[in-house]
Amino acid sequence: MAIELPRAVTRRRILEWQICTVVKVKQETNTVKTFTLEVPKWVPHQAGQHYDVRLTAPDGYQAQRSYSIASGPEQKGVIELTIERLVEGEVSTYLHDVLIVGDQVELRGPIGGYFVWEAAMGGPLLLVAGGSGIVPLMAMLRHRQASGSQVPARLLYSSRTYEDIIYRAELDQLHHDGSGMEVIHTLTRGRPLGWNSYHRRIDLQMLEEVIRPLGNGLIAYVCGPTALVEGVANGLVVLGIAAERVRTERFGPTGVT
Amino acid sequence: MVDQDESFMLDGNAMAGVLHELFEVEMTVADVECATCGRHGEVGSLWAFIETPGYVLRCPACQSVVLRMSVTPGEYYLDARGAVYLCVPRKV
Repeated sequence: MAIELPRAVTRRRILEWQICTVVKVKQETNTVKTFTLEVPKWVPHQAGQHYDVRLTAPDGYQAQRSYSIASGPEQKGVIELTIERLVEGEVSTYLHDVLIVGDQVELRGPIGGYFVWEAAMGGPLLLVAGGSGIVPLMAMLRHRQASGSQVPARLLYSSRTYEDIIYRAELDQLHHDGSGMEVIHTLTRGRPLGWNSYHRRIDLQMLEEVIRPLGNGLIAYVCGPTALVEGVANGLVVLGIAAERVRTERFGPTGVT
Repeated sequence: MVDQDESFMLDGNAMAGVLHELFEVEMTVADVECATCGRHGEVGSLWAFIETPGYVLRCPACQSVVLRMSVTPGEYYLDARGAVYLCVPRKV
């Protein structure tokens, strides 16, 4: 059975570019920052949707990228975009190195109806993230918490090192909030002393252990680099999860230009 | 056989913005049937290659091109030869 999607997605809406103001910048890890942006014509989004960001140079050259929304729809008037600084990224390097509180950028959104989860869609929920692929899944977890949902949920989150774990403190807190949500980390490049969770790339055995408590009726959202997404999506099908219940979002090197 | 660099591959979701410009509705949940293998699924589930002069959406089952799109300053070009149909939600 496929996942039932909310009907609101068929509503007609012209997507306008809006000038938004940076109201907060938070350094999450060495290479990741969260930008809080005030959106003048803010509308509630669905967890998992994204905004397009457009930069215009003085000579008229434009570059555009899509970034997942990190905040839940319950946080009104603003959105949070958590963005990794890519060494070759023409937009992310500008956002990281130049953008400060008070600056303005052009945004349009929210966009996307495929990779979304709302509490009403139920669960059990399996979230699998690699690196900054955590961002749209974090919106789902924040929405789950803010809406009081008790849907059983497990997040399997693969990071390079302990220091690369984005939202580490908040994930610890969600793990212990008693709502039936569990976070399982895996580290692929080194681990701190006393680390007692996984420390390898996600494989079939790990997936099997993580999904076991959720049962075959789970719905899965997988976001990260292409290789991780392919491996996890195929692995879940091998483990008996119907392909229609597995939604993926791959990270490319860049977005639409 | 298709030879493509999968490191440049995204999902149909990555084309949500430009498809919304053209159709004015959310298109990643629109159903599409592949003319080559008959698979149907949402546009968001197709493979997207957007690091190209135009945008290319391929079928995840048979890798055939389903939709191609390019945007000029004045027009949108949509080549849907690879699709039996594209089911666009009615605007309400």
